[in-house]
Amino acid sequence: MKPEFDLNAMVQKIQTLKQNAAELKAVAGGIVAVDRNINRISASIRVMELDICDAADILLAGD
Amino acid sequence: MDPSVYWNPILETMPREKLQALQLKKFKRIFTWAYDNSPFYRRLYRDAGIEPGDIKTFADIRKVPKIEKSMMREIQGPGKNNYPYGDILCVPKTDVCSYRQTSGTTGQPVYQADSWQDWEWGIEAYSHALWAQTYRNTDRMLLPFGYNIFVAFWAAHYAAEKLGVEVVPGGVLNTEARILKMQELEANAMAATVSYVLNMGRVAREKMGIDPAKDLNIQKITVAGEPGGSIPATRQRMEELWGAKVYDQCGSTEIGHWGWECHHQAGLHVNEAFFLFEIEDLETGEIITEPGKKGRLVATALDRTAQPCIRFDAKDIIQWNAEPCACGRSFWRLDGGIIGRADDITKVKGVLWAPSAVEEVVRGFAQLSDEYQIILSKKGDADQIELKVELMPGYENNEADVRHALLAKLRLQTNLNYLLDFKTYGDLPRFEGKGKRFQDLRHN
Ligand SMILES: [Zn+2]
Repeated sequence: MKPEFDLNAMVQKIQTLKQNAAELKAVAGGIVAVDRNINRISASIRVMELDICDAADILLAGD
Repeated sequence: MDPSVYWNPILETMPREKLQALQLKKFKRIFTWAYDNSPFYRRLYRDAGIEPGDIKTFADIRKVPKIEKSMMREIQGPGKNNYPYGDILCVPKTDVCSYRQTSGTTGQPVYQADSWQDWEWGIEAYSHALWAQTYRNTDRMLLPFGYNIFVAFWAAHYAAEKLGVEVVPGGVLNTEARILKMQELEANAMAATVSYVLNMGRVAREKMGIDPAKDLNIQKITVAGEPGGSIPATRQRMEELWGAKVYDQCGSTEIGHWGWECHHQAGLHVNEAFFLFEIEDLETGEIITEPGKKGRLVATALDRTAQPCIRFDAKDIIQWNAEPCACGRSFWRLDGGIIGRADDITKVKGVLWAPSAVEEVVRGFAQLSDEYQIILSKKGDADQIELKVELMPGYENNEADVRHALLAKLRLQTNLNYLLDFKTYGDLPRFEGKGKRFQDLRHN
């Protein structure tokens, strides 16, 4: 049994999360509480890029 | 295969040729990153005449210079750039949020910087291990280690939290207090060094009248830091003492948490999605790609960015097992885990010899305690191996029989003779961290 997932859609959502995080930081006017929490969230998003997006680049190439 | 057995089925069941393509892509990325951001790596690579565009194949990777601990000692420390990390550092010091260091048993410690990004990556790597070893949010795990400057089980703590495991930090407690806390909270899991798992079990039984297998609820134990987790006789001792499943795990300060056994307990899987592992022939230095041949590990952390670890000579002796594991993971395994340290594997009377071979024999004798000490020395021109062991209580009158059988078994397993010294039970040192049981005095 294979887990059901849509690799393309996952990659897109991760990129959206990354963009949203950067945009939130940009509109927060340097509020430290936002800035530092975004840094933490961004590290988690980066881990998902390593987990999902890097693999997708390889798995979807040539499909 | 049930997908819930995997932390990340996408990476863990990737076809091998895709996994290798992923490794190559990541190697190019970390190489370029280090070249662009670390003066240390740039110097090293320029001197070797290699730059980022040159890496196109695995054969090109093998031309990249290796690094080792002694090089870190040259660039780190007082008076050097980016104190204490040196100019290996690839990020501003304001991005460093975590300090760890090696124990420095072989010289000045190596200082290791982590950004929060790298810390998250390290926790993710450890999460693979714990998930594969059946840790879930129904578990309560006690971590009996000194939470300090050494990386030890810090990532186990954070990874367990990430999995939803309830974590009990057993930091500044002594052994008895840790055992009582384990009992009070009915903790069902723990992680510790092999030496300490054995030591704790004996303290519980012999000093506290608590039988870990019957009176405690520990059902799974993750061990690291010493080869014993993959030495069958040592694993059997731990499992019988605690009435628990024991899983081996390995990693290092510089590389990260790179290997772990799955619930089949069938050898360490190596995380080939996060790391590149190369095995070098001990004599020729050629890369070994076929199973069953021992060599030394050269490891690359493919995603660690603040203080990258690229082609690090880990001095661990390992060998490949390419047989598919029943768990269905694509990640290859190591036969016998970390077989030993390159520094400890030595020629005795012309025979290649490792202390772990002696451990396997000693711990196979129920009449002997968990502890032993090995001292290599010279008598005239000849090598001499002194082995100190202890008889378990109740076997004091069996010394002659045990001596005869032990010498025969050691000769069979290692082709060498030993000078045996039987000590009283409790005389040899016990350990809370990694055990120190081997000394080579021949070159002193
Ligand atoms: Zn497996």
